[in-house]
Amino acid sequence: MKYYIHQAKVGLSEGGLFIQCVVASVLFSKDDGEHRWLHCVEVEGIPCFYLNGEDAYESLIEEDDEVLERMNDESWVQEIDGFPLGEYDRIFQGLEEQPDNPCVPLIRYVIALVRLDMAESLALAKLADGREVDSIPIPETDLDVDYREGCL
Amino acid sequence: MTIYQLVTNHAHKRMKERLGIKSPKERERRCQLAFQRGKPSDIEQTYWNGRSVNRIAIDYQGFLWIYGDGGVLITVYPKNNKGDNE
Repeated sequence: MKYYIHQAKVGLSEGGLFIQCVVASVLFSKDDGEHRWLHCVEVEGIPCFYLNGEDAYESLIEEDDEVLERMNDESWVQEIDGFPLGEYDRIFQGLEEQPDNPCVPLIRYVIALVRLDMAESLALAKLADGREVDSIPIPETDLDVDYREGCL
Repeated sequence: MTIYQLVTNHAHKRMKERLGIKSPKERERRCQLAFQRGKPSDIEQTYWNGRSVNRIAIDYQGFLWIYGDGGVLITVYPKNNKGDNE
């Protein structure tokens, strides 16, 4: 099974002076052609994933409480196609246990959008033009280094 | 494509351990905020001038933010942390 990415957006929420969320939203499809959005909202280093058919990026950036509550109720996911989502240590454990899961490149792409420096993230987002996600070279993030060094 | 780095890897590590900021993007934002809103630190600037390197020392939110050429954040440390500047 192949994953294709059609659009990607990344940015910081418009929150207060001190704590802001990093939001990454990726429109992807699989061989069946159905398009879905995978959103990752990271707060204080803790990611939260949502999967739905809705381009909710602007609402997440604006921290729209109504949308966030609805997404928490209806779209929050802890796995995608058998791959575990959740906190980063759980995800990296999944990357080790399921390296051949076809959605691994998609997960790595979303994590890279969230964790890289903004300029690198925006450059990566521009590559989302309908291509297979595993054809995109994904740079190493600080989390890869932390996991390798056993301090994630 | 040239990627312009705002925060050195060293500064990322120092911000993570000294300010507890876990998100690299949040660290970038703080780096920009400190540069925009902080005040020059004369005492610290004198210290860096004496080391014959081009540095700008900014005082912001209880920390000293040390920038190099082009506004790249080199390091950050608490204001009262004398003797452990880097």
